[in-house]
Amino acid sequence: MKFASFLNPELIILNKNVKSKEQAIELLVEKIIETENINLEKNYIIEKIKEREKIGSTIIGDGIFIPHARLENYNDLLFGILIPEHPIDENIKMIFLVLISDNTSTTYLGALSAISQIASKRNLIEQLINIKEENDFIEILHNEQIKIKKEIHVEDIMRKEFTVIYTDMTIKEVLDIFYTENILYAPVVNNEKKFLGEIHILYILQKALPDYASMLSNLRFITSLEPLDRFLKEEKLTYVKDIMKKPEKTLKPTSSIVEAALELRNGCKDIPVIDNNEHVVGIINCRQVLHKVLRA
Amino acid sequence: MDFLNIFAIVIFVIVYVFISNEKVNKTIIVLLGASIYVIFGIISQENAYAAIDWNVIFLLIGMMITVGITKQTGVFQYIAIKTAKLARGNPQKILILLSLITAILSAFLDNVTTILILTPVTILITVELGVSPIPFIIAQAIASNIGGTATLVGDPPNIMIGSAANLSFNDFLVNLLPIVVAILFVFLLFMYFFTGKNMHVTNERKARIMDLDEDKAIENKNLLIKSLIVLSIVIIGFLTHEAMNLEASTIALFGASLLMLLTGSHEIDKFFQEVEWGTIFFFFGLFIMVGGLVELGIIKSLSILMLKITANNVEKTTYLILWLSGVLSAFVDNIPYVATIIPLIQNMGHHLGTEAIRPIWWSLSLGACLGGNGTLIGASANVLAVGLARKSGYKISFWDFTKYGLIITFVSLIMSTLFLYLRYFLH
Repeated sequence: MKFASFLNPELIILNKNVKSKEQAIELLVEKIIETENINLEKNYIIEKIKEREKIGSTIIGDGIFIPHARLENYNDLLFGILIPEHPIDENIKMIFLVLISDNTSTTYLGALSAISQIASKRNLIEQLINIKEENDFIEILHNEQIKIKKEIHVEDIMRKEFTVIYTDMTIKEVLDIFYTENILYAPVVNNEKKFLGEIHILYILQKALPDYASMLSNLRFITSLEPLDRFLKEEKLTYVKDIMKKPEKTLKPTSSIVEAALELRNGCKDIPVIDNNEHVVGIINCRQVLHKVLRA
Repeated sequence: MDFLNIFAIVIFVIVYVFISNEKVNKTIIVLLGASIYVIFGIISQENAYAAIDWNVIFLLIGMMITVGITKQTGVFQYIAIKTAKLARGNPQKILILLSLITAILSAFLDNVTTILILTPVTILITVELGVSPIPFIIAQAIASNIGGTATLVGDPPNIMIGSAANLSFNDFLVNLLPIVVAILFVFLLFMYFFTGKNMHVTNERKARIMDLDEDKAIENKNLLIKSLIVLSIVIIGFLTHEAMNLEASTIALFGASLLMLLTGSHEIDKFFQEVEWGTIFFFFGLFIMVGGLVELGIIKSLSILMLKITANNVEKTTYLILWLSGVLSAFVDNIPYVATIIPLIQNMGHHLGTEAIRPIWWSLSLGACLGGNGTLIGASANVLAVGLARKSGYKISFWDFTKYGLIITFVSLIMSTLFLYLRYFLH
């Protein structure tokens, strides 16, 4: 989840001539109460902020001030931002005022980490201070991809060790490999390791069953089919490129877990994960979802 | 009244009853009825096929294919998500905006398709926001029926009326768009005030909406560009079809063929899967049966009866048709109703003059389309929306829907009466 998604341009105050931290806090709290539908007293909020300030400084990095208030009966997470015309107290360049509920949520911790990320990037801070209008602040953070929650991507859970099959192999070699490795599926690549297709034991079986047989709705009436018999004798003569198929769907390493779940729900098959150079970098199936997400 | 007439009416009523109570699939029933009509000579075989309004059929097929291909691009999801983000996650604004978009889309696509496309993504947005999807779903169903009233292609009754009365796409826009916009405005105002209460949303939830990436909703940019080009051509075609002396169905057919060609796929079956053949065959059977009633002169008798009641007065007939259509459409499927009334009104035209009865066509359109909002069962869009909601675990009862629907329909019909008076009868 992106930090920028939490920000409301109406709660960003730019270039105000502010002389002190207290003045900045008051301005921000007033703006928040006026804009959002919060039924809390201004003084209550400012009190809570002061309480926190007493415990220790909330200035991080190179002049980023993060005053925050833990509030009772408040079940949300809200940010107000102020960029003073001149640095306050000679060093505060940017203020993130945060309203949180009094039981710390993981989202809040993620938000703090996001603000720390911003604080550590000097160039980013320069850009943010010099914006012309409020929406730019949000857009810059959006493009910088500052995240609150670490999203799970396919690359976090995919199986990275797997066997590949080459196009010039024979079916005999494929079946031998499948047998010794105890697998039913493998991606097919060329000599440069570029992904070309996939091969599943089912495709091999389907090759043995010709079209005319599969057009019949059932084959109960026959116990041995000539093409299947012939096929089993001719393993050495059939090549991978005659049997492999293009996958119905592939995923990228950066695809989200939601996308993967959508693909897998149609029948837990193996899905190859292909990067931007068309190399297969992993395989994902329901087993990985079980081990790495549902029971991580 | 001889035996054949009585038999024809009895069969017709039986078919109507079965269509309404949905025990057997309505297409099967109407095809059975049509075959019985031909077998018993109520209508001859040639006349049966001649009774089919092919304009209606090809307009429906053309648009079904075009929309079917376009929706694969994910563009409708894109629009819905973009809308939610523009509203910054404010649920009231989202409800208003999504209802507005549903109305606009329904004016060009048929209502059922619009609901089919927009309901899942609407439920997703509302669930992420943490609010109940129910008011959104009801609002969109109602909005789709209102929006569909504005154009020739927006709702099957309009397609049928336009073809029978020789009214163009622009005729519909010029005559009906003003009142539809007014009704939509009143409806949105109503929804705004009646749904504000329970929709408080935390900033965290709003952030989930802002976090959605609408660009990723587009599945096939190439296809999207092609679809939008073809849709633009089709819309321009609709706006100018009368001037070009072409039927709207020709435009739709052209658009569909062009898009199929541009899609480059050779699997023609995939395109034709987008056509609701059940609906198309329902029309076939319906046209044949209504054709049968026309052949026997039953429709003519009914129209003369109606003119007696209103003493040949066009104005009174207009209001009568408006309210009759409005009330009936709330309970009965508006397509068979309109199919039956059309020849009745055409007959009136023979007595009173085809130009003079123009307002009656508009009142039929308004009554039949807007009346569909009256109850849950009044329109297929309503039934579909509630069905999709139920599949996702949200129950909307008959009364949940109807309590909004009745008020909206009543207000719409009042506004329409006023509009018809001011526009056509105030001198």
